[in-house]
Amino acid sequence: MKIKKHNIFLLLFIISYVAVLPIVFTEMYKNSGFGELFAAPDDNETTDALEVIDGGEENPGDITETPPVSTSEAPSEFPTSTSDVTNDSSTEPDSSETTPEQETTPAESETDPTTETSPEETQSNNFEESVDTTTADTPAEVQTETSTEESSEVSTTPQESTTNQEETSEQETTAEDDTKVQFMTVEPAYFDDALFIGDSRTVGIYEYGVLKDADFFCNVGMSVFSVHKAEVNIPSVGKTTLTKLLENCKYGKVYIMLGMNELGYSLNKIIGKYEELINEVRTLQPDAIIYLQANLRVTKKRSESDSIYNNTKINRINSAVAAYANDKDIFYIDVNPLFDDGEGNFDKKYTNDNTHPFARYYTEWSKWLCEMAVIR
Amino acid sequence: MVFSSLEFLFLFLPIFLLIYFLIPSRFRNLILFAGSVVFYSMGTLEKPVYILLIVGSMLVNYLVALGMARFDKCKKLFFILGVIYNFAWLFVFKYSDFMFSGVNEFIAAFLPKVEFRFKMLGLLLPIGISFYTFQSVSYIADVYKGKCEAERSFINLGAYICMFPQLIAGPIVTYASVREQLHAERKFSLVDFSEGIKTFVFGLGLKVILANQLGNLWSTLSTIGYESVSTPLAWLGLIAYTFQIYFDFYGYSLMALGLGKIIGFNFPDNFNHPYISCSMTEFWRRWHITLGSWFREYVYIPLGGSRVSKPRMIFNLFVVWIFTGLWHGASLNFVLWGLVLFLFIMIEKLFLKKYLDKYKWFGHIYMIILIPLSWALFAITDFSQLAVFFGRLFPFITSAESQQLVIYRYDFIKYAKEFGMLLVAGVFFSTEFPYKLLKKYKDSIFETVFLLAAFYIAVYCMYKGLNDPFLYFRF
Repeated sequence: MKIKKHNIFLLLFIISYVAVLPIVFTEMYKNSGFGELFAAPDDNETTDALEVIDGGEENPGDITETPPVSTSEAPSEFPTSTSDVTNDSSTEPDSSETTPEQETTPAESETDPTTETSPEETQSNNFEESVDTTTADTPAEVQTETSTEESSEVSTTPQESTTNQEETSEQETTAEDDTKVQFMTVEPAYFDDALFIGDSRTVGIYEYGVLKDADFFCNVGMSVFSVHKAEVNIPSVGKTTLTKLLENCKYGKVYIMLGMNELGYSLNKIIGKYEELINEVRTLQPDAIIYLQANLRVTKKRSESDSIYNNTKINRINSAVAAYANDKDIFYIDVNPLFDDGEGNFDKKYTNDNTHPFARYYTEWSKWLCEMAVIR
Repeated sequence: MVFSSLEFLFLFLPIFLLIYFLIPSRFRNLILFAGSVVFYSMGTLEKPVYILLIVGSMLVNYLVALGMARFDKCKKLFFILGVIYNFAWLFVFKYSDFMFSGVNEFIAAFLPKVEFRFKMLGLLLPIGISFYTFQSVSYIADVYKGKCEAERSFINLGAYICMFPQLIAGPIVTYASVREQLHAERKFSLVDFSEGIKTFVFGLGLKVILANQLGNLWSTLSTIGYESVSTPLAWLGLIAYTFQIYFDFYGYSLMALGLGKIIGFNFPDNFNHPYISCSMTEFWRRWHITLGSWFREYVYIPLGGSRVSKPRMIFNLFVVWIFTGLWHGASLNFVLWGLVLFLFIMIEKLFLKKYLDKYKWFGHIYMIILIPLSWALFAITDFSQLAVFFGRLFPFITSAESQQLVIYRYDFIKYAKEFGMLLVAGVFFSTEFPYKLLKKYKDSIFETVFLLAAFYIAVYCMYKGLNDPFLYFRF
């Protein structure tokens, strides 16, 4: 009798063991090679890594799809969901403000072909021009190119665009102060009408920073892919999605810092989604200053040992992000010099997990944000 | 390669078991030996040389034991040389840098004119060296004392020393206790096979579901920085670590036990609900039992044990606990940890224990406070960080500077919400109750469902790649 009961357990166990085998083997095959399976989510970046692994799994599958399909699919998501608002805002800027950048944004979201091509071009520009961008000059340069390419209304011929570019670069070399953004130091009250969108590092700024009155739409593991699915509890609003939040509240400043948890994806895909996010913020918050924050790098140790989360990839994302700044209403700010070890890595004295600063340095980070404010 | 990895569970183990049970039983030790070497090599892909180290160790111990059996006159010499050989490697790999840095600091402090400094070797610790060294020494000591005969077959001895179920994290099995099983036929038994799987799955669940997840809370604390942790969160994190280290190690020991059972060995229990102890003395009779008995057998009793004068006995205990501390890691905090354990055990031996045993509730409260605090000494290797952490545990002992600390007001609520259920499960599985329940419903549908659920969840967690910092790997 007893042995029979044993058999039941054994039988069921073997069935479940065999049942999970295919899943397990595909997983092991994907990770190719022994031991690598657990190499990816090391260094205690647990929950972030968890999200990333999710991404990594979907990633290969998605890549096999033809890129045009995924990109053309993606922009259509937002106009449909926020179609009413898009129409409203597309008429508004025409009447009130006539800056060319603002006009381009609705135009982009309506015409698919431009959105498809632009990230790739932006990206190729960055590869050629800047490998390591720490200064504010390079983003500005890159920006002039991309903006001219994107906005069909401003520049019609390629010749014009090149002259534009030369002009700006000349201006920069001769009189830097004119073209460079004037960042000012402000009181934390500046952030009362600010919204922060970001991942675990933004969570850190929220919890340990001095900017208590800003709204924070962030969670650990947030990415440009999850930012529209996520529901975040914002104290003054309640649980909300990003689109709803942007529709219902008015912000003077929107800070975006994303790109870390995305690193398992291809740059094209990330930047495409990133651009969508910027466009959506721009459309729903036409008057807000948008700050694009560079992603904080990782330490040398992690960068050298990690095939996904390394500084080469982070720099690539950052310079691609920087290209979206126009220094008029979209600005790119880079916190990395604050925590740099002198070799272009996150200094290990500020961190224990090679990725996140200690809590007290989030305070310094938030104070640095106060010094990097733009007043219009 | 750890047991709680998909590669081990779904690749190595099934292939090994298939070969192990399909070939005639007289070759089983050979397969066990070969399989263990393969297992070990997969763990040391970075340093393949380390395989030579363990094989060399087997060879030397094999010859030393045979030498002792053959040449009775030089028995002692063989024994001493063997012990030196075993500990020399352990010392080189584990303690040389620790000693060098100590000497360097000594020179810097007291001999300012001397320029000389030792250079750090920076060697990577071979996996399981603390465990297999102790097993090897126990083997030659047992042969020396005549407790068992020298093993004639190199294969058998090799299978004993590097037997993969207990190779990297114990239990520390003495040769005398497995000799009979090693020589036996070890036929396939459906009941043992099934029982072994049950034990393994239970251990896997403790390790993957409880220990790994709770470990995340503790590592979150160090990510935040101890100085920015609120006092309630500091305690919560320490409790999480207390459960993590237990379920990590206990889970691994259970998996070893289960694997042993599957291949026909009965390994000794390594844990017996240590967290329900009423005194530190009792705790160490229930925690890592095989290590405790190794020290008793091969250090404490040879030194004279407790059948000596009181000062001598205190000295013996002191030696045992300092070495126990050092065995766990080559760093000053482990010495401090051993020292603190020694002090408490001493105090208990002198007068406290009779009160602790008499008033059980008092004993429990005493241990509930003492256990996490002793693990804090264990967990934080840097003394200045340790001081900061204790400052957070007991904020009233720190001065005014703590007023300026950067602390997130709701950190305790945030993490209590996230880890609360796991901590409750940790308390539950630290008591005897769930084990009694499982025993009562042995072979029932309840047990089957419970274990299958544990298996599925554990595999899911591994599949998701939740990180796996196996704590006892650094030993």
